[in-house]
Amino acid sequence: MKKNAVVRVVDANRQYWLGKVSISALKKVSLSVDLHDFMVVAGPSGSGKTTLLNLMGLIDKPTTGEVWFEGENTSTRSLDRLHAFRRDKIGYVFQNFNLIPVLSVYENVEYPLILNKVPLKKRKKRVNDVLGQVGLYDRRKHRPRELSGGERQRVSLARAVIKNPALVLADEPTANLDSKSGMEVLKMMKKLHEDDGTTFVFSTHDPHIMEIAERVVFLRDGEIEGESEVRKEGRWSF
Amino acid sequence: MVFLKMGFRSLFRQKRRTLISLLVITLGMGSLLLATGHSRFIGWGLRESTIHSETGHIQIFHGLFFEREEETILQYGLEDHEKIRSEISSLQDVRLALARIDLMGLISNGEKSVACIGTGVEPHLEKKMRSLFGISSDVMDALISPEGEKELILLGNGLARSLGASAGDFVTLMTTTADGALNALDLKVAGIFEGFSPEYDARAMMTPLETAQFLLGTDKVKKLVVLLDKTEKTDPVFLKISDHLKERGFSVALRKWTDEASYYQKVKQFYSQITGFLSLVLFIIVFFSTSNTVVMAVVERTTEIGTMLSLGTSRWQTLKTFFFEGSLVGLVGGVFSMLFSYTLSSLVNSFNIVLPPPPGLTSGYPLLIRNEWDFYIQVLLAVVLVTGASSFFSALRATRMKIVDALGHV
Repeated sequence: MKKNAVVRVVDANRQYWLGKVSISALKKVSLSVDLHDFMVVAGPSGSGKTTLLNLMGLIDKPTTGEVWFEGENTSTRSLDRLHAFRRDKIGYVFQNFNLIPVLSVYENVEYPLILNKVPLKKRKKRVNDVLGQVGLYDRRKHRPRELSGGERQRVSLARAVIKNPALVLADEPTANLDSKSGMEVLKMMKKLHEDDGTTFVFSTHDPHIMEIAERVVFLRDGEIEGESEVRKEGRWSF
Repeated sequence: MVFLKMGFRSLFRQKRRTLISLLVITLGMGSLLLATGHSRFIGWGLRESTIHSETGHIQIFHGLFFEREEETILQYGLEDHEKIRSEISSLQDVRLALARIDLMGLISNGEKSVACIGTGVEPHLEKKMRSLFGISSDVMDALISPEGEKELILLGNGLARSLGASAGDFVTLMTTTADGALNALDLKVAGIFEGFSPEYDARAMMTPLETAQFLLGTDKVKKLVVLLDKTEKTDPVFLKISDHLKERGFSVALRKWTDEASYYQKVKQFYSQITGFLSLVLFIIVFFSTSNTVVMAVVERTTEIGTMLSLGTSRWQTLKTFFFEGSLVGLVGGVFSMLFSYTLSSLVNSFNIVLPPPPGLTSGYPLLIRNEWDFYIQVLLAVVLVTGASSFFSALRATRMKIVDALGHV
């Protein structure tokens, strides 16, 4: 295993059963995400992008194969350990934002820090800083329903990065946004990556969005079709 | 804290649903409090009337009274009852001690003789003891003659009717003395009383203690009946009196009112069973009603549960949040039901409604509802637990789902 790999998927198969019919969402997929990567998993609908992200995010398990996270084989780890990984090391940005509707913007972003038992004073400063980074400090008292789609996804992004996770996973983060809002969210992800070195993996089927990535993995029919290092100095500056 | 906040705010998501839950709890638990309040009043009233008209709180007998059979009347009666009375009257929590004699005999109007049972009483003290319940003070006053007349008798309603006697008439009471001889005395009917049942009234009579002692040819009394300031003090005062009298060399046997009140115990048990069953039914209704609404809420929030789990919230913490949310509904509903019950019971109590006499009894009884805060608190805690549990178990299924399935739930 590479020394700086955050997560490594090894020969992962993922089968689903629809009644008596078996569907292979992933077929013997192997992939390594390194520290400070800014990577896109690209592919058409049904190619297995979400399934792959779920495996990397430890919210699903491969039918066969292994997922290693920071050098630990997670398939042999207890539920509590996986729960701790999710709490401490992984941030999620969901396609549908998945904010907790009864909490304000501030409280949604603060939530992971509470789970990590960060002291109040430190928590307050960190939340305000991150809300400032995503441009939502003035909206911190609002509830999710009072925000636009773009703003909600920025809250979701702030919630994902607030605990400085080893890995942020974003499943089609711009799919439910208009192009302008989508681009704003991507710019922010890129900036957070550049400023803090946060490792991002996000999925998309939009070729324009792929351009922002430093690394693109192409999936088709549950298999990795190819991978390209597309980083070029200055090409994706906004 | 954030979990408490989430639980609290979730109540306002589906206001109508929360209101329905609150309404079910308020009406269900309010009804339980009212029904139990009334049965507790009956229990309390029966207890106090039993104590004030019959048993007192503690009864003091001769030391051998319960160990041996009496061969002659009052063989094991109390001789030194005045000394005992003066010893215990000064003790804390003792309101008064009065002497009684039970006697049986034949009572006659000259033409007809009827078997009777009666009590020799100290009218002044009996009047004090019965000041709350039982025979009206006017009738007891009738035994207290301003001229010091002692040859008086109070007849039970049925007995008076049987003899065709009314106040001012004379009857003859015949009994057996302690030595086994017959004795008789003409007594003036001072009044007529109504006891707790027609069967009792058909045989019952009362006469001053001195008259009873004269008829039985004795200076003894059967027992001393002790009335305390509060029924709740019975156990400690019982021990205190027992120790106090033994230290002073009196050979006595003591009984608590509970040993002598078998009717009260049966009625209490009967009402406990009824209210226990009612409580069970109402709690089941509340449990399933709140479960139903919580299940709907949980199904709608399955994705949210998935999100919480994916963010690293433990399943246990997620369940605690739902438990708190359910408990909060129970707490608010419980407080509403207390207010509902208290208001309605105050209203009912103010109307002085009298219910018809139950089978076997001679008089009706008031529809009163007793608000006992200890029971209110018990019901509140129970409803908080029941609604919390119904919420907890409803959420259990969602938290056991795979996170991806919960996130993808539609």
